[in-house]
Amino acid sequence: MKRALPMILATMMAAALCAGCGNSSQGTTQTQATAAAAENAAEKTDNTESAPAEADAAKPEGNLKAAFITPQALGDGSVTDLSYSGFTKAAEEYGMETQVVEVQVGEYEETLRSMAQEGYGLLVCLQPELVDAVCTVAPEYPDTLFFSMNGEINDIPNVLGSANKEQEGSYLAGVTAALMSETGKIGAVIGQDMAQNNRYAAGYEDGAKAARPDIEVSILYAGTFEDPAKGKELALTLYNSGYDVVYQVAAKTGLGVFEAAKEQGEGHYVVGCDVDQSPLLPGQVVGSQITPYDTWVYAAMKDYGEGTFTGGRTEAFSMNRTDGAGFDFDSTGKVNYKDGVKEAVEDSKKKIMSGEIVPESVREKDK
Amino acid sequence: MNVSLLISAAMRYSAPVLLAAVGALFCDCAGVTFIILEAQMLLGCFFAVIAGYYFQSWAAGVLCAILASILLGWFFIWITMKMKAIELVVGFAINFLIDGLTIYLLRMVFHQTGSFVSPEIPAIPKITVPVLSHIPLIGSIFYQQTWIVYAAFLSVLVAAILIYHTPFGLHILSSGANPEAAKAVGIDIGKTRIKCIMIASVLCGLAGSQLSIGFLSMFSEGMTVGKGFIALGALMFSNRKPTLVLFITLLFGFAEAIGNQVQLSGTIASELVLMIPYLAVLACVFARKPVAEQI
Repeated sequence: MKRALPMILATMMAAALCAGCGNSSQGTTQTQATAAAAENAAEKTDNTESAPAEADAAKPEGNLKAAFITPQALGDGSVTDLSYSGFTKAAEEYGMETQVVEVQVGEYEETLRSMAQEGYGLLVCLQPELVDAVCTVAPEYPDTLFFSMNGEINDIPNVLGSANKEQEGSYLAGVTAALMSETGKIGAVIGQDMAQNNRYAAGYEDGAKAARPDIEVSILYAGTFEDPAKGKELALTLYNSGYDVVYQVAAKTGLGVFEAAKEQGEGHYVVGCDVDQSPLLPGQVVGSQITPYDTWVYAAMKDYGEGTFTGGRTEAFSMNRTDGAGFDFDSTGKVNYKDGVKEAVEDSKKKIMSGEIVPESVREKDK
Repeated sequence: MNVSLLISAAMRYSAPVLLAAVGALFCDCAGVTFIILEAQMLLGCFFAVIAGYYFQSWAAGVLCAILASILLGWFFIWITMKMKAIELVVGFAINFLIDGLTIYLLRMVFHQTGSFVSPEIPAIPKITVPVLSHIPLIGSIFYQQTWIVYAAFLSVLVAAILIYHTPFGLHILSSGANPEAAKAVGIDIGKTRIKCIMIASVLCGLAGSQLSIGFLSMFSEGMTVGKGFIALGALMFSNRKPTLVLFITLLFGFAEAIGNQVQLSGTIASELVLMIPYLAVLACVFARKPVAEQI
């Protein structure tokens, strides 16, 4: 019996492990939000069946089913939630049946395959982490459509990739920062010195110099997205050297920038990134670059719903495609904007959308 | 180059690392392979924020951080001494465990992912020593730092005295150097090691609270970013001498701080600048005497 006990325990543990590693699609989180969306979709099916008017030959037959697959959990208050709101908006409008899966590393391909096998017509896959899995699985299911949010995928006919035009919103951020700065020196704290992050920096510098040719711009790299202390130190370095506006492009590291601005007090401004961050520090956030992930997902879902989905390319979501979303001013009402700042930004925005201004996407040092 | 900012930034970076390194020093001298510094710091970070938020007091935060750290220390003691598990293996496991646990607790308690920021999280008040902070150049050492930062530097002194100049210190050193002989003489190795682990836990708890509510006032998943391991590195290069622990930790701190300033001057490419702290580690490796010559 003494010898048997360890064996029995080991077998039980192994069994538990196998149960956990089973087919992940059914077992994983189906959030309450999804249940609600599914109910709404079921209710609205009667109303919306007649809504998409065009009788398009490519329109999917039968029920529309879309899946939302994300490596970052819902409830982050930013990118994932934003994307999800676009997803549910389209799902309600077109009466789609939906499923949400929060995947773990190592389960990407299995999950995509099981979703495709269950007949989901469009798989919305978030973030660059899922790109490899999409590239592997999509060719196996040519009738299933894939949308890679924030992933650049070309040449696979049933896959639509997406890319941000960060430099456009950042250009407007640069204009605002340059015009609001009292000292004539503005800075930015960027996560990594890589192409995508540098698009923010390049647009920022371009916009700042256009608004105020004698502006001094300093771009600092943190080297990490996970270290708020580092972000605060970099921001303090900037603020203590006379830079009074700092653009944060560094996720969690960037939260440190807000701390630094708070400590330094009034007159030290921050520009937010991706979402409206003015509630984080009312009165000191002159604006935020916006990446309307919800519009991206909505656009892809809408195309699926109307049968106009065209894959095999990467869509660059410029301001034109997103109704001008790219930069928002402070929403708390506590920032005193100088005369002419808002007008200058609106003017630049029109010029970007018309193509008159093409913001830089590559920094001088990288050319 | 803003020297006063350089000095205060170096101190801010070094303080948590130093506290952890001193704690590890005690354990190393006593013969305990104590690598859960990172976990204890992270746990300390988290509980400092939780307790600070719910009790609206930074003191409650610090206290809870220390308590949580001590609890983890006791868990380590139980598993390694009572259950006779291998310290190194348990250490690695605990590091992973706490990383996941803090993320899980963050979601359970605050329903947040990624980080928890709130204006209601109290921060440890910063102290400026009146006369000393006016000394030109080095006065910034005494300008606007929390008491934990000052305590970190004092702890080195305390450790040096305690370990090398008291009977308790002798017990510690002999437990590590020659456990059999120590036992024969009647020293209770178990108790000595437990005391060292407790000291390390308290120091790591302090380090964690300095990180989350001292310098910042927020919790972010994995916010210790390897500082516990940097502390271990500093310990390994220090040959069990408290002064070297201090020197090496300050070296790392300055390397980080200089990196920020150099980036601002824009003279060197950012990739090279971000390498500076790691170059400092390499420099330590090369400056060390070969293992055979060390005693």
